Amino acid sequence: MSEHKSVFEISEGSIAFGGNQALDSVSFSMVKGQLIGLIGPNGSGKTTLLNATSGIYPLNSGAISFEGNRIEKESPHRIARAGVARTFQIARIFPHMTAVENMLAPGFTVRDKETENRVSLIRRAKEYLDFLDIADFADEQAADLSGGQRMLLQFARALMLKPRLMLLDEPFGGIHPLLVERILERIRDLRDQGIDFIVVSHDLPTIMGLASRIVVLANGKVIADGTPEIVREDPGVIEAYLGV
Amino acid sequence: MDYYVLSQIVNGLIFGFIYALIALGLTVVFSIMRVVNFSHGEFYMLGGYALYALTAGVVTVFGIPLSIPTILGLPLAMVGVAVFGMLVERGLLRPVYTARMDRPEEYAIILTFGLSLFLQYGALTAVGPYEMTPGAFWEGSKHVIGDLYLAGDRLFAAGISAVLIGATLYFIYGTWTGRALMATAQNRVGSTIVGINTVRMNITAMVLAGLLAGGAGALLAPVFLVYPDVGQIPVIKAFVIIVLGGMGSIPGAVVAALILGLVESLGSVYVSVAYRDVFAFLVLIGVLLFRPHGLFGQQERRA
Repeated sequence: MSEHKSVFEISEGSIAFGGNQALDSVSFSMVKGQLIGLIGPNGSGKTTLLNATSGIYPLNSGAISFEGNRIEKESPHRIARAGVARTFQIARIFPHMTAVENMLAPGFTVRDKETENRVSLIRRAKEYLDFLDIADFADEQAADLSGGQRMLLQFARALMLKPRLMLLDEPFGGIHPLLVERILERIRDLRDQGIDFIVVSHDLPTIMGLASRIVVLANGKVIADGTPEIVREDPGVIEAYLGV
Repeated sequence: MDYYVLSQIVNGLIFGFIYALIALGLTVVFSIMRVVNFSHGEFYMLGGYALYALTAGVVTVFGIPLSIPTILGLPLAMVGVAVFGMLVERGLLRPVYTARMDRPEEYAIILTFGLSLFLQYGALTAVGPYEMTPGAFWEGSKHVIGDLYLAGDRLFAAGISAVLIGATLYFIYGTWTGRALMATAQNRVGSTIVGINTVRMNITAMVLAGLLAGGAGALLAPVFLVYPDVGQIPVIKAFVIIVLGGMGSIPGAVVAALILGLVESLGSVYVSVAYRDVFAFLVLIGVLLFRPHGLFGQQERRA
């Protein structure tokens, strides 16, 4: 058996919204230890691909697997519990709970029933808040947090699932450059701990610096796939981005 | 204070607790599923009929007439309506939510409206328009304080309502499932993505609504009797309460229910008992004009 086990694979994945082919026979797979940057112009299908993977919009046809198990027909909460966590471009937090309550909201599903009790679960939640440098806001209402803090909160909350694959949608969008540095650092820390990432971003310099591999979508199709160096020089990518 | 006024205050609080019971189920379903359940009044009606059927000896099972004690009939009626709520979720509402369609909430609202009419006319056809009287929970009138005596059934209804409200608040604010319910109310996609089964939350909301509305219907059946449209006025008051309390606010619903109970009772004393059911609408108009987000609507919008 190969060392490079497939963590994630999509084959011939298609989704249409009315007449709009949001994903058009998309296929690629990732092995353990990769960090994929998913880029492409607006409307190219990046978020749709994350939504399909996390079960929010099921594929019309094709297959998605996580660690060798088919998940394209699973419901979102099962995919999340299986170890695929997800953040959104606009943080989907629980506004009328404090930050730490946000972390504990899925409590009974993310609790390790053998080893974790209420106290150790709260401790773990606080550790993640600390890890993302938002422990000072643990008892603030989530609605009162800034955009950047909300992004960090949903990142921290996703960690409660102890994920093995994280899908991040525009984690650097509209965020202070210093905060972007912090998020990059944390992503690298987590990658070193064995979590794989697919990161959607418009911020090309940042994502090119972070990812080991770039997949480019345009009009719902994969138009390039390779190391950042290769993709940057790809004439098809330049055309898709600049429209020349 | 003279005992007449005191008795009206106590009566107002008694009604307040029962209104709270009805309004809580409505507001939980609204918060979790975004559905204004127009058939909630019929859940209440079914609670009354269930109690009657279980206790009055008019229904026979294998030739044996069912006449279990009223006190045991209450939890059974509640469970029966809860199961009905589950079936409504599974059979009518879930197909709307799981189909990929625009505006599921609006379709669901129309469905509950249809269900309300279906159940009312179904009851009319099945058992007729007659008023039915289940046996008392606590017979006779009871001494409360000084010269104040109140019907045992009313005191019983208020006491059990208070216990059920307390249990509901504990369930929502004190358990993991309650936390997940609140999360679902505040951000559905955000909840499912952290592993919360939102379909199960819908079922939980409908079961809770069935337990509470069925309980209220059964508790009041010995006092106000049971007939096909018995749920109409209570459910309208429950709507007033959730607007007064702030749409989706659970503490708001409890406080608003007590306020409405008191307003009705004191209005009956100082204005006229004939206008009793009008006060709710005056409160509604007043709230919509002067504080449209309700008492708790701003700080705590959902659950």
